[in-house]
Amino acid sequence: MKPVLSFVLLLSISFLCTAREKKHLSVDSINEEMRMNANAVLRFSEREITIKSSTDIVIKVQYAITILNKKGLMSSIFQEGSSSLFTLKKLEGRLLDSTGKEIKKTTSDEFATSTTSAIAGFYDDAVVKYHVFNYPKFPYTILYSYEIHQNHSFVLPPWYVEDKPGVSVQKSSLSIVANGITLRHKSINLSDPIVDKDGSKMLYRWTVSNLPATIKEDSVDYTFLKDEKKVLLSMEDFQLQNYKGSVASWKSIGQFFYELNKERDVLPEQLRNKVNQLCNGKSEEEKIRILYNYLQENTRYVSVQYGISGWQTFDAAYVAQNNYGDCKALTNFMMAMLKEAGIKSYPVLVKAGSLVSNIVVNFPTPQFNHVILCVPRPNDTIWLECTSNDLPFNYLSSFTSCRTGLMITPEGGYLLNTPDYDTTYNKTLRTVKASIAADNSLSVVYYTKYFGEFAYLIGKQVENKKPNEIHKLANQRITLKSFDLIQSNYFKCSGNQTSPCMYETLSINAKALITEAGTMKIINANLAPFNPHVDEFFMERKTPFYMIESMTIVDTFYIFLPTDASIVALPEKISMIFPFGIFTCMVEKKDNYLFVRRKISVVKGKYESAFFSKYREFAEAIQSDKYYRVAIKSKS
Amino acid sequence: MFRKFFFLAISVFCFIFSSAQDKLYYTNYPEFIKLHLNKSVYEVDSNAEAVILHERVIYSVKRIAYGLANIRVKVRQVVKILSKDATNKGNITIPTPFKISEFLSATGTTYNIEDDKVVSQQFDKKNFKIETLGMTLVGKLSLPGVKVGSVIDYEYDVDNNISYASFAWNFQATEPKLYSEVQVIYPENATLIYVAKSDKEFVFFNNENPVLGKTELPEAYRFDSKTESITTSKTWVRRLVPALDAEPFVTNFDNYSEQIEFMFSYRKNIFNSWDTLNSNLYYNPGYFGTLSQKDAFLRRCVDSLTANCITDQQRIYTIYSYVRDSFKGYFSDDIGPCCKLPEVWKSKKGSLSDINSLLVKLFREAGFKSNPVLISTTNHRRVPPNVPLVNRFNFVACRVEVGDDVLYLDAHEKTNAFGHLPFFCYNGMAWVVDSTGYAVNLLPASIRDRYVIQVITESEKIEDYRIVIKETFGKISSQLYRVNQNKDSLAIKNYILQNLKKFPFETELLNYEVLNEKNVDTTLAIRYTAKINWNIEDQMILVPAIYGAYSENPFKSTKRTLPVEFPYAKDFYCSINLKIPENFTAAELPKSKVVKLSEEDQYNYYISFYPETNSLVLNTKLHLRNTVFEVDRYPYLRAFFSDIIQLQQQACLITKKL
Repeated sequence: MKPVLSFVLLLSISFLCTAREKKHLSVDSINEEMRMNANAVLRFSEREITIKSSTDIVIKVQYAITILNKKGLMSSIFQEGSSSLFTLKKLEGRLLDSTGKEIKKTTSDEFATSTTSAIAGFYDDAVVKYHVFNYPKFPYTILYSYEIHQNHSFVLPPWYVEDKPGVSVQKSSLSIVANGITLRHKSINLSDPIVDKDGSKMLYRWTVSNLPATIKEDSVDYTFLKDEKKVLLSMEDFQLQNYKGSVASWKSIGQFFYELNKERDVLPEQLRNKVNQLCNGKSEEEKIRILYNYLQENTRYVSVQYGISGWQTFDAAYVAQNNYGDCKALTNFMMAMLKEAGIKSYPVLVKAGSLVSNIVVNFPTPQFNHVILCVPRPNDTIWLECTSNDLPFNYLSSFTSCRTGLMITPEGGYLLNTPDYDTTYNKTLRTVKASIAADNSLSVVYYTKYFGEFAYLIGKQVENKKPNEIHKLANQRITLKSFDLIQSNYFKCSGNQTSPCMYETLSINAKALITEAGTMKIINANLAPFNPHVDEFFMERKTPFYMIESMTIVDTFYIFLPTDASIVALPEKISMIFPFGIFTCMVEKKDNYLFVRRKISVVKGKYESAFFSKYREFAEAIQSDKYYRVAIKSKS
Repeated sequence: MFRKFFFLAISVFCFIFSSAQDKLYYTNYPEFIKLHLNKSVYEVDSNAEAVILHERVIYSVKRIAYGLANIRVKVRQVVKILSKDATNKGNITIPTPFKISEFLSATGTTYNIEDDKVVSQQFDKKNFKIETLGMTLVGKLSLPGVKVGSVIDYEYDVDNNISYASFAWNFQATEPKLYSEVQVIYPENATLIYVAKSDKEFVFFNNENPVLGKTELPEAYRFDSKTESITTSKTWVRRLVPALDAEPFVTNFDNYSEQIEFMFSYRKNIFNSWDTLNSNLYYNPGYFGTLSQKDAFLRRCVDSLTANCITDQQRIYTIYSYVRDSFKGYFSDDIGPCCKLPEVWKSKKGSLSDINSLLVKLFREAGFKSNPVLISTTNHRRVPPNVPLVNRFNFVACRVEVGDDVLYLDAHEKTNAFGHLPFFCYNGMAWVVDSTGYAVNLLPASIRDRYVIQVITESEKIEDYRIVIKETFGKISSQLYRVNQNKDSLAIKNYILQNLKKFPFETELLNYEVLNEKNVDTTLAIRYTAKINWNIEDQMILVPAIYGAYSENPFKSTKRTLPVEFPYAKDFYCSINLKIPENFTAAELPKSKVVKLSEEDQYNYYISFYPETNSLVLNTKLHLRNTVFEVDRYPYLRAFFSDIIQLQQQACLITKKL
């Protein structure tokens, strides 16, 4: 048998199977393994992509999912987007009762349409179609089928196996028919496809079946960082409207972006004069600072992404005229101003997000959703986030730091890493002095210096805020159980800091830290409780967990004691050192004061589930007051 | 004295100056813009991120019928941008109630000072976008050139071909306003009802807008305008309105923000008094008119249901529990029943109003005095006693009298318990629909959650030390648990483990059980056993108030501008009886104490050590029976909570016996 015949036969058998499955969508036919931990069962899902040409791609989708109970309702919602670059057609939905009998059918007209960007300042042509049957009697099954017609080949949507927590998968498959083109694909956590050939047609098929439902594990877990089963796809030579390109390498992708966006950096004369006036006689770094400040003072982020403008920037004159733009437009505008000042800079495409979500480096494709600006210099590199009005100069927040980006140059694209902010960068250094009042309250003064992300977030919260709002913020930041905030001050560290830096001074009257027991006083010397987040204490963790941000807190507390005080009980010292973090704390009596030295450090990264019980121990120890309780007695 | 006069003079000056500014808008607009472009601090709020300089809203009502109307809304706002965050005010979204609205115009201009000159940039109309959002349309525009210091001026005009005949405008927002004007133009034959919530009284002027003629204006005023003979025009102006700051423990900020609310009756004089509103609700078959008619079918149903009941209480409970447990209800804020009651009975499903109206009807058929009660729940504004704003009501409950008792019931939700309504229904004035209807006050203080925790030592052997904990939830916390239990079946185990984490020892959960989980008419209880590792060498410091009513003082701020509101009254009891391991004793104990805010609101902390049984016994009790504390009581309330936390943190020293 010829290979192609076998493949066609395989496909036919597969579709025949699907047809038969459709006839047997009764809930009874779901076996025990598929029901375990499941709120919904994906009965089958078929995605068939036919690539007729680089501007004519049809994706046919059909799937059936059984909703077992109320918790599975999220899986019953159908939603799929469309825009001027891909249109949605032939939508159809069907509702089956538990026996598999059809009880309702819906057509395209019954699907609701809504914008994807209802908020102010966001403009695009994307809409989402959605539908839900709202059937009250569990269990039931829904089937949906539709087609996506894509008029470009710049991005082929990746295929994900829908094995979300609480959803088991009976069968899910992806088939691709590529006519005379070179398809590139990468299976992640999946085996390679069955591949066959029919003349100029290449045929690919991935199938997964019988995946039991997993349990949702919330704490310190970000499901989209999990090891998803997916297939990345791209066409080696692609076309986006009149622009053609290749994903053969990162260099060629960079070349495409360069061509797409070139010659859009012409500033109006008035602004050119302004740039020259601002930069006259300044050093290169001063020029960059001044122009970045000008950008932050005079523009704002407004997202305008219709069709190709999702990837192609508005020209610099557009931003100059409107004083707004999206990430591409503002980055291009900043680049144009730097160019006018005689400084070379390059856009860097990144996959942005608060949690590190890196690109698949060994599969060149446009996996990016944001762009920042890089100014390479002989001894250092300056990074500029052009969409933010408040990020400090040369500082990237957790939205874009510590990941691989693609620098766009006239010679093509180059991968490079954005700055990594480790435990020495995101840092809190705190010194606290406290004295005991006659009523057993503690008069406490905090002197804290924040660096990195801590400082940036605090700075953002207090900048231009009313004193009463700053007072409110300080109140929220203090984690003691009962206190009166007397005074709060925040100010930026002086000089050109290499990272964000903020000072905080707080003066409070703390209650409930000193109590009396008979002839003694019990002091809780934890003047700055810290609560790491752990919800699901009882879970035996099965999936890895993530620490998303490195940070260090170093605390020194001085609690001045009455002159005649003697120690009755001191807490034990604690020292916990794990790959994901460090917690050390010791309380000592020195001269006439209690001296507390504490260090809490967290190292970002992915940690195997076996470490979770240690993490829980670590978090509980940090939260416990037992390492801080001291009993004192008056000698007299 | 001099200082006093000085400040008085300053405030009079500001007052006159601000009146002059308002006038300037109408008489010399370019000067008005220039004035504000050069101004960066505003007396109304010296730290504001943005200030609404001038705001004008015109509602032109064309037709009104059956609660719907054709309303054209024209809004103009002039805003001073004072911070970077506020530059987003240059991005404007215009909501509409339905898809068939028509955007008539949207214009905008940004003003800036450049080289000492006023420059303006117009919004390009071709950039105005209209998008579909569910069943509505949204218009969007972004003004060019907006930066700190800019003044933006935009206007939009929307013809809502269909809108609700009730609408509202907020005078108070997150930014302060210097001048806010609302005009309503409506057909002469329509009846307009309005409620203005403001700290200021609206002074009435007989003539046109006095802003043009007067040099001093009150902070709130209203006037009528001449219009075509077939329409009426009324205008309200509110000046110098401060921004509203959020505070915790406020049931609904809308109860405090300055707002004007309008409602039209579609037949003349129907809703202009509580009596006329009540008559309409009572007799109109679209509302509760059918409840007064005898229904033989439902009578037979009731008879069959209650055939075995002996007492009235039994009959009431049987009818209620049958409806609650057998019918499928869904929430709808429509106060009129959707379906005919026999149909509801047959289909066993219906809206909130359907289900509770049916309940009223069944009680009546059983011979009880029962009525529907209209309620505005806590997520709505409270009902003003003097104006019959029917649109404030969003919940229909059932009132039934049995002997001398009155019960308020809701059968539309299966997790609701017999004898009381969900706590969010206790929101002040409610209306009982009867032949002569009347108001009742459903106060948060009239519903109380009583939470009880008992901890006892089951085994005192140090190598196998076990405690048993029983937590009995109150009626409100039981219901909240049952509602949440549907969402997460592991929630209770997580809750228990979180509680065990409060113990200053290593603990291991050995077993747990949930009592009365399915019986929604009883309070829920959980009982669990845990093993404890005392891990004690020579001595340890123990905080015995392991379970506290509050883990921290919820009132962090020393200042307060709005009253504190709790959603319901609260009793919290905790009894801990811990046997100290053999060879150890409680060497030093804290003192017992009672702290009182009032006779109704107090916290008791009683601690004792019994050497004969080597037991440490702690009994704590919190009564918080008042639910509203005015601003002047805030320092006392805050100090009360501070004292509670102080007592809860009291520790004792456990040492080896000598």
